[in-house]
Amino acid sequence: MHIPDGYLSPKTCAVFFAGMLPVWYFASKRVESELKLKNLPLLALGAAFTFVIMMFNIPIPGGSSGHMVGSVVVSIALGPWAGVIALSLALVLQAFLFGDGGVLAIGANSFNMAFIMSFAGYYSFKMISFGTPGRARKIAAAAVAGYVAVNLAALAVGIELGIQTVISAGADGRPLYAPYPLSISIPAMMVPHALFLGPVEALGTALVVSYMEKAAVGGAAKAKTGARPLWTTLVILAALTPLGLLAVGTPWGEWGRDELLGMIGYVPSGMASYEGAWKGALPGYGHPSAEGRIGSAIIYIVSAVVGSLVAVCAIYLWGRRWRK
Amino acid sequence: MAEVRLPDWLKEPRGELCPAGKGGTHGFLDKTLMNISAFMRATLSSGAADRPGALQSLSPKARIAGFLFLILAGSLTGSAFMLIGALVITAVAMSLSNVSAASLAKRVAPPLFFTSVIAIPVFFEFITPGAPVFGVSIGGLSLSVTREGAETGLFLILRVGVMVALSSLLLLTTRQADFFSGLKELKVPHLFVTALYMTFRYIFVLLKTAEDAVLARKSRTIATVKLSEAQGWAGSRMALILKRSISYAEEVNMAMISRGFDGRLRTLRAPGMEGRDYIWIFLTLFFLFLSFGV
Repeated sequence: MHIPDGYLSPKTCAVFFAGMLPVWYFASKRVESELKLKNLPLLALGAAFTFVIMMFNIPIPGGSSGHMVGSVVVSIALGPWAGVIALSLALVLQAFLFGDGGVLAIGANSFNMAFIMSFAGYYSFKMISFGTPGRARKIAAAAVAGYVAVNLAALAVGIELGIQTVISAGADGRPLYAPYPLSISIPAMMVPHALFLGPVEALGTALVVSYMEKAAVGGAAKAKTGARPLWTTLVILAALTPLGLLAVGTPWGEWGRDELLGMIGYVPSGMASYEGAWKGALPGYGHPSAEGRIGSAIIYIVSAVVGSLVAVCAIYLWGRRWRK
Repeated sequence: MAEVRLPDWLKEPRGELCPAGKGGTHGFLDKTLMNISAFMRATLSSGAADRPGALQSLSPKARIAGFLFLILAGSLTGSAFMLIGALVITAVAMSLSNVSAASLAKRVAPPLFFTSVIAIPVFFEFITPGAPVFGVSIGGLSLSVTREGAETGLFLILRVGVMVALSSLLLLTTRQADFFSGLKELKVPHLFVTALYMTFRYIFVLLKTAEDAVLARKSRTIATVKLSEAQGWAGSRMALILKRSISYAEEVNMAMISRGFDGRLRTLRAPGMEGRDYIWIFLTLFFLFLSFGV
């Protein structure tokens, strides 16, 4: 996961340093206000802990073992902002004193392992363990958080390496830095993380959180978390719905007369007789006045909002009636 | 007082002294111990940093800044000649600083090998189309190495090798204390330098805790244990180290308050910049400016 020097162009490194500077500044201010005087030793020991945890091998089936990054454990225990600072400190030391990861790539490595992993892991954990979770749900939440976080970080590394062929090629078009395009770099990063390193991170995070629970260590020991993460998830999912507009083809099972004819050679008589009986207010999530791809997209999103509102009103009215 | 140095044979790992807990579900104990001991060996032996030499005689501030310029130059350039020039500078600086080629090679070899393995497909036509140089046949499948592919792959390996060699030479010629005082002199925010120093200091405390736990487990283990038991043990030790970290942080915080600590790291006053520091900065900056053009 540590990107060495030479794989990323200087402008990529500069962008990540510029992006991480406000994050480090804001994180240090946030940590200072939350943890007061304790922040310095707590951050330093959090960083030292991630260092040590990376050396700790976890036994896995088949007689082998693997080690975890540990970002999610630190962010669950100390909070995501403290996690960002602690992980960044560990990465700076690893680059300068131990030669692990590039010196110029510190910004990019901090973005991947400190920022993405801390936040993705922390909020995945919070979302799944919302309300008053039992021990089993907390452990499952930790496992999912570890898996999601390490895979998102791997995806970020794959993208960072893959875009080098586009943004930093030489005058003759040949790559000067990481030489593989996105079509190769993303699978190369994602497959091992999805199949092996992700499960190791998930297992390690779940194991540590289960013992943190027992010993009442850090933030994982807090019994109750707010329901806000659930709402956040639902809003994100709703916002991501229009991504379906990018898809091509017909969804499975939503075939029209012509598609059925092409696929099976005939149209079942029941479908033929009822097709077109009711076209709906906005047929096909569109409107005759909507022109072009953008117009169709807008009508599609408006349809989704109208549909959601109608459904919420119906549920509200049904709930009121049921209560009576 | 005479300087005391550990003899090299004392730093070398010995053979299998304790065969218990080897293989199967216990292999993770050995691997963890090996990780810890390799880290300790690499960190606690100051190596060439204590010997007299050209780089060691520079002020930490100038040394760190100069190496950062060289690393930046290595990253900016698109010319193989510039990279070879950086390699020559590294070789000359290494020999003038009493750094053995073997110790530098030991640090450069792993990332260079890793990069070479990653770069292998780039040499072939299916990744980099171009003029075939020669073809190889593997199990009836014929593959061609192209000139463009070979140039791209070798350039990547050369760049990574040069940059790793530069950062390794900085590492080998700089004591940890010099590194922190150098950062302070370079006006890196004091809170950040202090946090880095404390991190470095407590890594060893926590590593000792981890090492003790693993050694105790290894010395008590004779039979093979169940996977779930071994995993549970690993999880409990990691949680214990986290708990220790948090309790140490509280103790350190109280100790800091009781001693009137103001958050500033006090290091030995670094000597001011001398003529040789300015020459070093000039040479490295000159190389950096050259790299802008090619």
